[in-house]
Parts: sequence; structure tokens; C-alpha cells
Amino acid sequence: MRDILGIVNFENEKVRVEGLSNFRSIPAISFLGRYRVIDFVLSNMVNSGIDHIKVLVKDKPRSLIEHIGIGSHYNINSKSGSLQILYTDKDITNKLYFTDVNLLNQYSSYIKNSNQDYVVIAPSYMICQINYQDVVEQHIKTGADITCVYKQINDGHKRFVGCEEFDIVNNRIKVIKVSHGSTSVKNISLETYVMHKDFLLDLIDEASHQSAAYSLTSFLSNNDNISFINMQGYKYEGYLACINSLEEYYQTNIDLINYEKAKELFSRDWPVYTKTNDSPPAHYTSKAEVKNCMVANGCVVQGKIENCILGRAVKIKKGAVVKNSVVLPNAIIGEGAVVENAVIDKGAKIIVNKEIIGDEKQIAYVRRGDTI
Amino acid sequence: MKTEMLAMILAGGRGTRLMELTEKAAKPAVHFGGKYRIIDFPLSNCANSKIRYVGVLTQYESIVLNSYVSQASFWGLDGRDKGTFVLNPREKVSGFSLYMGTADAIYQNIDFIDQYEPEYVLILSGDHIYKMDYDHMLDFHKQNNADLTIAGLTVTLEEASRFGIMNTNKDYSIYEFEEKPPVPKNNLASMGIYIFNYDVLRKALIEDAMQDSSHDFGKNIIPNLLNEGKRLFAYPFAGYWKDVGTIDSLWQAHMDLLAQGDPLKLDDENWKIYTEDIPTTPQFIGPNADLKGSSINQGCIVDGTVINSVLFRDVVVEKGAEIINSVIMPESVVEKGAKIKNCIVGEKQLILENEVIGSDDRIELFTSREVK
Repeated sequence: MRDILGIVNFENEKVRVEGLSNFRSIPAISFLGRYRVIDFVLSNMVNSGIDHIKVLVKDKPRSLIEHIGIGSHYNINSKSGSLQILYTDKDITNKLYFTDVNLLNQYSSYIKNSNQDYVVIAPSYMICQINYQDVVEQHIKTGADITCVYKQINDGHKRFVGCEEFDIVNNRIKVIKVSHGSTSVKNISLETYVMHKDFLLDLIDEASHQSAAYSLTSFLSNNDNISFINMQGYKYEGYLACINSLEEYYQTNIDLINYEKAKELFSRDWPVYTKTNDSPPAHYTSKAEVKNCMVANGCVVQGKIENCILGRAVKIKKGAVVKNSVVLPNAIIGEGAVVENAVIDKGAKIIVNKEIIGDEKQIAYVRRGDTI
Repeated sequence: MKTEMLAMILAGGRGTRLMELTEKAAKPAVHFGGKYRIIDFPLSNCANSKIRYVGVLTQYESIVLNSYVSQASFWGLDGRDKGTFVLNPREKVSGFSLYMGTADAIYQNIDFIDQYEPEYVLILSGDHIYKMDYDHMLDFHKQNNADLTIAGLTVTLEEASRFGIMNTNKDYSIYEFEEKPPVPKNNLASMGIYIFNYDVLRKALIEDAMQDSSHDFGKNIIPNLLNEGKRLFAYPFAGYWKDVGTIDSLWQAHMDLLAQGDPLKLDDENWKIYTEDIPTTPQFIGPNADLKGSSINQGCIVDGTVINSVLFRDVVVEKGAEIINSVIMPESVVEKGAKIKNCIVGEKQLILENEVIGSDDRIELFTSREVK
């Protein structure tokens, strides 16, 4: 097994989960009840034997830092391993300059001085189950400058809109462009790059010389640059979702309630680690009605829930009916409330206006901590 | 190293009446409450009472218990000035000796206690289910200028002859202590929770060790101190307390948890019961599920009927299976159409398709078929 340096990248400026990301960065958003979005990429890295991880943090670092801590709950060795947060408040008010390239440049000595030869850079908002060792092996075998992971999808007209897609000829990535949802079958980039550490250092140096506002992906998307770089594709076949809008966030949650689907993302030999909250098991009272749900610990369900995700310690009171909804931790759905096609943010209470009904085109969203 | 009060947990007993559940692990390691082990209760009470050093005295089948208890971080008892310490019987200059009684177990670890120069020593049992603030008990002990304070629970007169009974004055000072009296004069029972002034305890243990004695706190140490005219007080406790010593009482304690308004208040944020954090998948409730009056832990996949029951981590209940008034321990699988009633099903057990176990007239323990 190779010793690899893991870098968790932040999402680009276009990625916004309406409502939810007003309160925290995307990696820190609660996902599937008991997780945060970042748990998946960190678990992939740890399960791939990566014990040195740097997390690039864009903004609102508080909830993310609180969640990942020093990484011991991700099984990162407390002495020989490290989980390092790379954060800066330089340029934070000028979004134009706030890029992964500039952040990596600022901390380039940390990368240069690391003991690992190969680097994997992956964003947290691409939800997948991947062994990065396999990508590094292919990378070494092909002698590529960069190996980039992609998945061929056939629902591109409605999913992954706004993600990068590849034109690939003989496994070489020729064009990187934004997917606008015009065609169904396409190669979606997981924005997951493997390269030699020295190549990364040269790359960020070159990118920042060309433009002070380049991000890694925008630099590589430039046709002049890509023609000089031997960029190879690694074809990923497993589960993939992208949390880049409220609709995608909602739909990904709802899709994974189906256990057969969820098995593509969860398996016992590839655990997804998260921070424990020491909540008691979920409790269903004698009046509860529950169908097709994913429920986290600490929940108390006295009402009816169908096709829902409940985060930790959610309370569904008597007579409440919640359908097709994602309820984030500590929210309370009051007695007799009706919630459909909604995302209820952390700690919100639905106790006064008792009808929150969205539809599939327009998901209802209740803000964090609001009483409604 | 100096600490005001050190805790010593007696966790050496087998708990023979728990049958096969304690064949491979001592009673304190038995699973309880959907996600805990019994010893999580005294350990969490210690952590929540801000006790920093906890010695755990183990003896019978201690592989599981020793490796569990040594992970101090489970309870937040890790840190520079904290710790859990496993104290097994060991070889000494005088030879090897098992712990010959509760008092002997503490006596054999006087050197351990001396290291911390405590003013007070808290002695606990590792196999009781309750929540208690030992710091309040210490305040009570100090206010009374006591040499020994014993926590006491009011039991029914019928039960009283199974306990050590404390006959007290109005101010809770003890004038008589009777171990398992056939005709109890009182119903204030010792909970086996003691706070000693360490100088008094140390002297009493050394004297007891030289004598022909059962080396037992209830039979020897406490009556001796009373005879010497020491100040003994009973600390009245009013909450939920259970010694889950038999299959029936273990089952009953789980049913108590499910009753209206959980008497243990496991969801009290200010007094959490901490436990091992095992990564699992989320909890999936399928389209055919029917859940009523039940507690279900993370990792469970439930598509059957679960009524008035407790499911531990990673239990699978297939479509059409029916579980009533039962406790299913971790990683057990209940196949399609199986029916379970009034049972405790042990860890990693397989209930076959359409199998029927349990009856109306008694509580059964099922441990006879492991999942392959």
C-alpha cells in the first residue's frame, strides 16, 4: 500500500446549496441523518490507507472544525497521522481571489515537506465510495501527469448540472467543460485528481503565474493548458451523487432511503466514520407509523413518517405527518403538523404554522433554528 | 497525581444467572439498553461526576471487559490527568492470589490507590443500571463529617431480605447494618455504592486482611466499622436503579426503558451515558415495517414488525418477521416470517425463516445459533 497525501478540496464558487449553505460550508452540512457531507471523502481517504490529510477550508470554518477535530473518530492515528486544516482569511472578502490554487500556494511548504510522493485531491461534495489506492496504481502504470476520476452517467439531462464533464479520447482527457444538462450520457468529473507531489507544486505555481484567479479546475479547463498535460481518466463505476444545489441535496437524501440503492454507498468493510453524539437509540412510541425512512439515534417518533430522513434527536410529535422530507438534527415537528417535500434545517420548530408543503419542483425550506 | 476522590469499580463477578450471556464475558460487559454495556452506567456516572481516575477490578472472563474498559476515551475519561485502569489479580512477592471477596479486591490494590493520595475512595459495583451524581453524595458525606457513606434505596419489604439493610436514625446516621436479614427491620437497602475516608478504609482493609473473614464489605468491613463507633451515614437515592442479575430482570429492565417516560432519561443531554462508538450504516426502515413502542439502534435494517422491543446495533429484521416484547442483541438476523415473543436473543444470532421462538408464559434466552 502506498503512502499518499490526501487533500480535501473546497467546492468552487458556483456550488451553493440554497438556504443550508448560508449557515455553514457545504462539507459541514448534515447528510443522511447522522453524517456530514465531508465524512464520505474523509472515510474514503482513511479506508484507502491515507493517514495524512489536509482539508482546505473556504469559509465559515467553525462548524467544520468542530466536526472533524483532530480526526481520531476517522481513525487517523493520533501520533503518526495528521488531519490538518488549511484556512486563511487573506482575500476572504474578495471571492475572485479565494481559490484552491491560492490557498495551496500559501501553504505550499506544507505540501513540499510532506513525506508522501503522491497526492490525491478530492472535493467533499462528490458523494462516492472509492479506493484511491487503485487510482494511484493506475496513475503510476500509465505514467500520466494527472489522473482524474470520472463516471459515465446516463441521466445527465437532470442530474450533475453545473459539474465538469470530460471529452475523453483513448483515455486521455481532451476537454473539460461545464455540464449544462443538454445530453444524458456523459463523463462527469469527480474533480478527484491524482498526481505526483512535485507536479502539483509546479502546477499551482504555473497556475498562479498565468492568472491570480485560477482554480485548479479552471486552470485545467483551459485548452492551452490541457494540451500540454497528459491527463488520463480513471473510470469509476460505483455510486455517485453531487451535493451542488438544494434540489440535488434533497434528491440524494431521498434516493438513499432505498436500502438497495444505499448498499452501493455503504458496506461493512468500508465504514463511513462520523463524530458520535452519544444519543440513545431511536424511539418509536405506540402511536408511531413509519415506512421507508432513515432515522438517526436520539429521535423520538410519535407521529407518522414516510420517505423521510431524520437527523439526530429529531422529535416528531403526536399526530404529525411528515412525508418525502429531510429533517436535520434537533428539529421538532409539533403536534398535528403536516410537512411534505421539505428540508427542515437544524433545530427548527414547526409548532405554529403547521403546514409546510413543498412540491417536487420547489422544495420547501425552513431555516436553521426558526420557529414556524 | 493527587486527586480528591478516586473511584474503584468492582467488576469481577460472572453473573451466573445470566446464563449463556456471561459464558464468554463477565456481567458488566453484558449489552444493555439498545447500545450500551452495563458498565457504561457507573463509568459514565464517574465521568459526569468529574471523577478523574477510575480503577476497574476484573477477574472472571475478562478479555472483553479489560479491552473495553481500557479505552478511556469512550467515556471522556482520557486526558493528561484522567484515566481508566484495569486491575486484574496479579502475581506479587507473596504469590498469586485471586480476589477472595469485595474487600480483598480493594485490599490487593492499595498500592494503586496510594499513588493518587486520595482523601476519599468511591467504591462501586460494575453491574448496576442507574444514574447518580457521586459529587452530590460526596457533599453529603462531607456535611455529615462521615467516615463512610452508603447510598441507599427504598425497596419493598419483600425484596429487603435480598439486600444489605441499613437501620438509621432520623439524620440518616446508621446504627445497624444487616446483610440479607431474613426478617428485615427496615427497607432502606444498600446499593453497594460507598464513599470512604481513605485513611479509615485503608486501616479497615489491612485489619480485615489479617483476619479469618469473608473479606466482604457488607459482611465484614461495614459491621466492623460500626462496632468501632465510626460515623456511617446512608445517602438516600430516589431514582431508577436495577440490578440486572437474571434473564428475567434484564428483560424487565428493557421493558422499563420502553415504558412511558423512560425512567433512566437516556436522552438527558446533561447526563449522557457514553459508550463505544462503532461505525455502522444508518438505520433503514423499509416499506413493510411496522414499529410500535420500540427502541432501535443505528445500523438496523428493519422491514418487519417490531412491537415493544429493543433492537441493538446492526440487527436485521426481514419482511414479514415479527418481534414482540423482546430484546435483540447486536448483529443478529431475523429472517422472513420468523416470530419472536418474550425473548432475549443474544449477539450475532440467526433466527431462521418462519422459525417461531418464545412463549407467553416465560422469558426465554436464545443463544444457540450463530450467524455464519
